[in-house]
Amino acid sequence: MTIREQWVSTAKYELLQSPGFAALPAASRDTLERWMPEPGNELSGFLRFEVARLLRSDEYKNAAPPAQAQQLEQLMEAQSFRPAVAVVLATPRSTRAPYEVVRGEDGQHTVRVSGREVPVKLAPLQDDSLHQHTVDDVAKGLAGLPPLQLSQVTKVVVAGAPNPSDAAFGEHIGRRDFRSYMTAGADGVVTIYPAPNAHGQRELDATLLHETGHTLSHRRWGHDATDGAKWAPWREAIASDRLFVSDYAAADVGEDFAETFALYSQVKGTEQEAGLRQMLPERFRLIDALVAGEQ
Amino acid sequence: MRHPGQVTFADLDAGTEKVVAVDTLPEAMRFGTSADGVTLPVTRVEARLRGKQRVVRELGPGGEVLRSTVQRSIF
Repeated sequence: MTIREQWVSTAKYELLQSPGFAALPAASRDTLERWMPEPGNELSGFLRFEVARLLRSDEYKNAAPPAQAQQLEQLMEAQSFRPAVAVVLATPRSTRAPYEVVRGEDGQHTVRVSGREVPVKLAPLQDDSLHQHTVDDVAKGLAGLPPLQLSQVTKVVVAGAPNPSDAAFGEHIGRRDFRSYMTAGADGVVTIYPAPNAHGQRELDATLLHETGHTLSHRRWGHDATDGAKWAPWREAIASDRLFVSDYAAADVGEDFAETFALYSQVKGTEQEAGLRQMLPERFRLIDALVAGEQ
Repeated sequence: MRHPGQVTFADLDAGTEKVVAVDTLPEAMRFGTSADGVTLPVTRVEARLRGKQRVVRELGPGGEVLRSTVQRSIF
């Protein structure tokens, strides 16, 4: 066992013995304990490691219990243990729904998956130095989506040339090297662009999962910045859970939904689900209702 | 539908904004389609970092997201 694994495994026990934990308000004690489920998961593991490191620091050990409690509150507030993006928190699912690629003429194909037929347009590659996803990559990506996200996709276009908007994006957001990978339209059309470096299946899967989460939430609840009332339950769930699954989720309420929903979809039915459900109970409850068609 | 003529580009990480005349932008990015299938002008473009990726969202006049574009590999 590595030192990290040892710290992660004993962090909760050490925390519960700490006078600083006892000095926390009851609500904070409950929350912190809830964030450290058994068995652990990646997010809980990151938190446990940070807790263990804090408990071993001189600043914590030399502080009186009220000051220790303050340091624990700061850890809960700052959440510096979070990853940048949620996709690293769950092992990609090895299972995909059965699918079939019906190859048509002129690059007009159809992917049949989970009772749906999704048109896939594969445009001729205009520059041989670029890499383009195949219709089989797309079919695998669609087959890896949970049914609710899959239902958001009306068509996939594998473009033969870079996004014509790249230069304008690059110039006006100050990133002249900007090159699009994937565009998800509100109308359910997903466009995937060729790139100088090949993109792997994992990136296709993860990006489709995240972006179709946005498409779903916009259709059900409107835009998070302008449809405040419809997003109120999600905002309340964030306030109750307190925990964000990634730095990007903390950026705004819409990204929190997409990141949390992607993680939910990845862990649903796996041994990680129970732990994450304990850590994010209100958001998982809302997603349960959404998946069941109640939201 | 006519475009109002200007598009605001916002870098949400840097906190900066600039306004650009729409006729300087490619045709493909001037309009988008809403979830209801309605063609709407793109009036605001917001960029933000997601891990190692930059994400660009193109918004309509009511703040609705018309397109979301993700940049390059994160793996």
